[in-house]
Amino acid sequence: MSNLFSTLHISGTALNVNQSAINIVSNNIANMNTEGYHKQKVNLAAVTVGLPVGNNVNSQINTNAGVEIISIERYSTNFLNSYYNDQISEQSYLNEQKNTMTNIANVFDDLEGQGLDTALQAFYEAINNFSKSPNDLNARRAFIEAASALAKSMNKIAKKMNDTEESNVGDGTNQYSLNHSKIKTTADSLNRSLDELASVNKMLANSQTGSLENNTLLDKRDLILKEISQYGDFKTEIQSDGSVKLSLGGIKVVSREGVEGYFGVQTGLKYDEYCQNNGIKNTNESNAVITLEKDGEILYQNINEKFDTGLIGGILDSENSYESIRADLDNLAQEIADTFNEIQTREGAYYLETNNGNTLLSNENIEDYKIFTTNDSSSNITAENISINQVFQEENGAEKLAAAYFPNNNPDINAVGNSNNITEMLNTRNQSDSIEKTYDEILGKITAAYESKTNESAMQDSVVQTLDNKINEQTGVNLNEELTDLIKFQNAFTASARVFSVCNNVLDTLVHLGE
Amino acid sequence: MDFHSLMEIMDKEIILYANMRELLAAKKLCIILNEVTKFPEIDAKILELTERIKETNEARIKITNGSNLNITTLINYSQQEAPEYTYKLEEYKRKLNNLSREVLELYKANTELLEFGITITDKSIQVIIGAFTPKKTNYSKYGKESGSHIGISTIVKEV
Repeated sequence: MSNLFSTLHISGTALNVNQSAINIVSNNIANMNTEGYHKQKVNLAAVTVGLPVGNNVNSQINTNAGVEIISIERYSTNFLNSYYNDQISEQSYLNEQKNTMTNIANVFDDLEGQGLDTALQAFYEAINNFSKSPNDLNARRAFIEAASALAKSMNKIAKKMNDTEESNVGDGTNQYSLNHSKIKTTADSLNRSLDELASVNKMLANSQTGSLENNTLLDKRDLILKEISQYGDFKTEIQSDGSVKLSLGGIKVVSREGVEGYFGVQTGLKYDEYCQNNGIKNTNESNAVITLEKDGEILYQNINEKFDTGLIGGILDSENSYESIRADLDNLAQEIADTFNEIQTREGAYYLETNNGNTLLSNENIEDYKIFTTNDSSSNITAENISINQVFQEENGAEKLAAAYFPNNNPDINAVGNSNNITEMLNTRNQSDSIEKTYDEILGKITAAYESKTNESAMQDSVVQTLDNKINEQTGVNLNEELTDLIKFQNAFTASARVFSVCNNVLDTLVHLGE
Repeated sequence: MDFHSLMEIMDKEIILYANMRELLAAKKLCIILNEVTKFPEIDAKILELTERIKETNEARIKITNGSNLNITTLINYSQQEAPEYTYKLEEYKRKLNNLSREVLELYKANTELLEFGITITDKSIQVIIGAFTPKKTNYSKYGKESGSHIGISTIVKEV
């Protein structure tokens, strides 16, 4: 029994084990920069005969010398992954909110001097010039042009707002508009991810746990779950074979068997019809209504409230932001119309009649000469429909502007130079609740919301990045760490092998003695 | 030959070899579980035990007049010189045979596991070093050379 160590040989099984273990290390290195890859490790064990490898001496003894791979361990942290996915959902929601505020801010951007701010300033400049020369027809026409430009500027902003919102969630009535909206393409993308998850689920059910193939599928599964988390707050239930059950707000979406339901989108109008036909009180105010469907049948008619976060939640909630700013803008349009219409048509205000030898005319029918009106014959003035009264666009329309004003209804019809009324219009600029200040408040609100959403989004980006780093730290491949560990193992193995060769002689003696 | 002293020494030897069996079993578990930090502690115990076994071996050889006799020979002697010890020696033989088989199995398993560990880590280190090594082409007087010139191995070959 001399030199027992040198008589040992590596069995064929052991060579295969060596090769497999090295393949795993190579795989780790090759995929160290692959997104979603989790580090893997080979777990070795001595080949057992009859009894499993255990902690007691007898079971250890009843083991033949030889090595096998018992499993390929995949470094993964389900808790962190689940938390990470929740945070990704929140990140997508906040990013979408930020995008919404960016879009709204872009609508109000006045960089090219075509915005509402410029139009308002030009309007007051025209009033100022008009007040200096109340009987000058050119000054009157300039006033009308400026008022028209102001109304058009508001129309343009309102249209841009509507177009941007429509590109997000459709217009609420037209299916074509909805089909080309962001919410629809997002739902379609989500459905594709659901199909992928169902496919991976099936493959996982058929693969052997702890194998290289199984681990690769688990990596793919986690990547898909990360993708799906971007859309909403989906809950996952990992099964023993690695497959996953996916649900949203208690509604089953994907099971082991496949996709339980696909997400669809219907217009607010269509949902309203459904509610009316079924005697349901419709509280929905959204242009787009998310459904869950399977095989052409709608399983759930309205699951908007289930998307309280994620990209879809962000898109749906963007409607609130648009609605809020649109309401402010409509109020501004109404305020502009009310302010100038009231001064233009108040008792004591007089307009000009040049054909009559430059005399002031009675204000009896001045009610018909409101400056601002609607272009769609509706009674409420909004940013979308505010328009200049057609009367002023006609020939001699400029004369209908009431520049003169006589208190106590005591007119001097020959006082053509009187500009008291138009001066009153100009004075509105200096009031504490002036139109320009109201507009500044709207801009301030947009800026504050934009900055708030940007900050929240940046903070959430930071949270997600930190978690990403943490997960990579725990499950990713770190070459330096691997190398350090390996060298540590190698030194320990080598030192231990030397110890064994030292006790060779003692074992020889034991064998000899027992003969 | 002082059979009484021989019995006492052999009792000690059997206990020491049984201890060795325990240590080798613990060592095997450590290798399998890759608990390399526990290696030095167990190895130190094995070395210490080895020394004690050697001392006991020498004491036994001294009693048998400088000859390293095996148990079968000792049984033959006892049958001629002190038959009252024969039964006990046969019992020792049975115990030693069992211990010998068990300790050797564990020893073989441990050394083979260690050798696999050394080979695997060496290859792994080579793969990682390979990943760090920039790819380049070398030319010699024979033209383009294939393969890497960097030969790395952490295995220490003992002559």
